[in-house]
Amino acid sequence: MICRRQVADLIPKQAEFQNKGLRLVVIGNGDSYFIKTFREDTGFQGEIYTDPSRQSYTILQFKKGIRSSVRLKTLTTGLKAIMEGHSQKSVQGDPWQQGGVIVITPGQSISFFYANQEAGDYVEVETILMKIPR
Amino acid sequence: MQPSLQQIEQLGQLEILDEQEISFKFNSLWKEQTTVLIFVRHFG
Repeated sequence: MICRRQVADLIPKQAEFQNKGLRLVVIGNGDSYFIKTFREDTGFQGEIYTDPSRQSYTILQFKKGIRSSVRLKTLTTGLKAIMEGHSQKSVQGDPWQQGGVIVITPGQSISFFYANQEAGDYVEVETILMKIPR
Repeated sequence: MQPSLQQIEQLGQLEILDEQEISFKFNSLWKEQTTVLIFVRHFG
């Protein structure tokens, strides 16, 4: 539910990323088959890839575990997502794996990094755009 | 905690898949352009 809304939120901002010279990529961790379904559900026509091994999540030290997945904030954010029509039909990938955002330059320096603290927590698109130097 | 250059290099060597199950290295994403990578929890 929340991941879908996070990705749906990107759609109206895609041009802004482009104007800043940024390539925008969504990475998931399910089977590559589910990319298509995810694309249809979110309406996101940009780049989506998957790392079924989830090794990238481990390297970036994104959180994992039931405690980071079930919190009150998760429930309220989830409810909000459902009311906005982004309900979670079924989970493809690891339900206990948290995500995050990283911005990497061609010189391999990091312009922005955020590890989601719990399910329902994610950085707003506006924040990412604001924090990245043009 | 922000990853180190070593971690970014490790990440770059990993393979990802597209919809056609074609695999390529992570670092090809940011080779020519600063890239925003949004890691979602799952495809739920």
